[in-house]
Amino acid sequence: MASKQTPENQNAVRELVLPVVVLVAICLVCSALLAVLNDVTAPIIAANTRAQTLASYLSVLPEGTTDADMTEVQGLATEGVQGAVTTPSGAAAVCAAAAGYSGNDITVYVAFDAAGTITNISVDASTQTTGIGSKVAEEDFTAGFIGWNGGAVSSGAPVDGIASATYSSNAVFAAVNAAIDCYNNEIKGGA
Amino acid sequence: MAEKPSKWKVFTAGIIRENPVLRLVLGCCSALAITTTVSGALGMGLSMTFVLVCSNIVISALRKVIPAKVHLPCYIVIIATFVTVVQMVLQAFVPDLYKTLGVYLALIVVNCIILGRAEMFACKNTVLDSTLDGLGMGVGYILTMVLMASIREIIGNGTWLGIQLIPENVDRMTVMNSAPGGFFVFGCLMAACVWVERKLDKPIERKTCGDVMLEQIESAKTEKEGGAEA
Repeated sequence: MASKQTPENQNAVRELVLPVVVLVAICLVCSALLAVLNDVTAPIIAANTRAQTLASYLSVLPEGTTDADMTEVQGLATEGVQGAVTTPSGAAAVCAAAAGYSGNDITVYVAFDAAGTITNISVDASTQTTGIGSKVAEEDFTAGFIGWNGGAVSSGAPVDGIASATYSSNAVFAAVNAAIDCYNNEIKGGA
Repeated sequence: MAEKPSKWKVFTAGIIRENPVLRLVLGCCSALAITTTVSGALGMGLSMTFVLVCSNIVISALRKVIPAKVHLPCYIVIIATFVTVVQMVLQAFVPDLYKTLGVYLALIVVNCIILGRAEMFACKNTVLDSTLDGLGMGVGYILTMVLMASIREIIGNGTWLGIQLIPENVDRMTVMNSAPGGFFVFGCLMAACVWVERKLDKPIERKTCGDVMLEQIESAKTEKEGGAEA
């Protein structure tokens, strides 16, 4: 027995099915467009990120170091460490991050000489409050780490944390400690 | 029946008469947050204008296809798509600007100007009119952002677009770089806008929420009657 399409049934279909179909169709078209664009931009974004990371390593390594001198260290397991490079002269640079104020990461690049002494440090505190947490990126604070070769760092050794920026200061100490652990156990120890 | 405004009037409405930030008080979050530097304000304004124009075009073209029940979800999907397009393009080709705009770029999705124009204009007008409306509103937004950022950057940093204008030995009013400075400049510009309006003796049409609701009820009634007659 064939069922007849009553005006009520047609209305119900229009009220319930049509909105769903239109919304799904729009979502599918938008997803397809974004997938195509992602295919085009993803390699460029990856290359940009890599270039930025290499530039950050170069900014802390001794003058005269070039891209060709750096060898990336693979398979790092230290918590908080995002990457590391070594140079033929025995110097190394480690990138580590730790959660600062509001849980946003502070990233540090720490350079070591062949003896394991910190020779340079760069702090990216762009995620922290301007004028307060951002002070951990200033030279007054970071210069205190240079020349340190005494194991784990903390507030007062080798530098005092910044008053009113405790979370940000502690994040820098944690990230530097991760970099030191990584250097001692995986780069120096592993070499 | 009200006379249809000319194309020129549609385009210029957003620049001064119905300026989205200073007259309609929409999109204030980004206007206050991103106006610490002129370059950031310009980048945000251009990104917002691109999303506004593109979403107005698509929403206007699909206005007879999108059922009333799913208006908002469809608008959000369309707007979010264009915002993601801008994010991907900026991250790939202008990474510095992408970093400067930060979280506010993603927040364009819920920018009241875009949703407001989609609901108030694009879903009722032709593609051409909606494009002109988007462009006009975008130009108005960019001009306001650049004006606010110029005042804040010059007084707060002594620079304009990174160019040193005030000598280093002159003290800066650093409060301009923080939220209170933003609110102060915003208030001054709104007051200036009201002053100009009174000076020209051409007050804009002011509507309360009740007026808007009554208008919507009337238009829904007219639509229903039209449908019943058809």
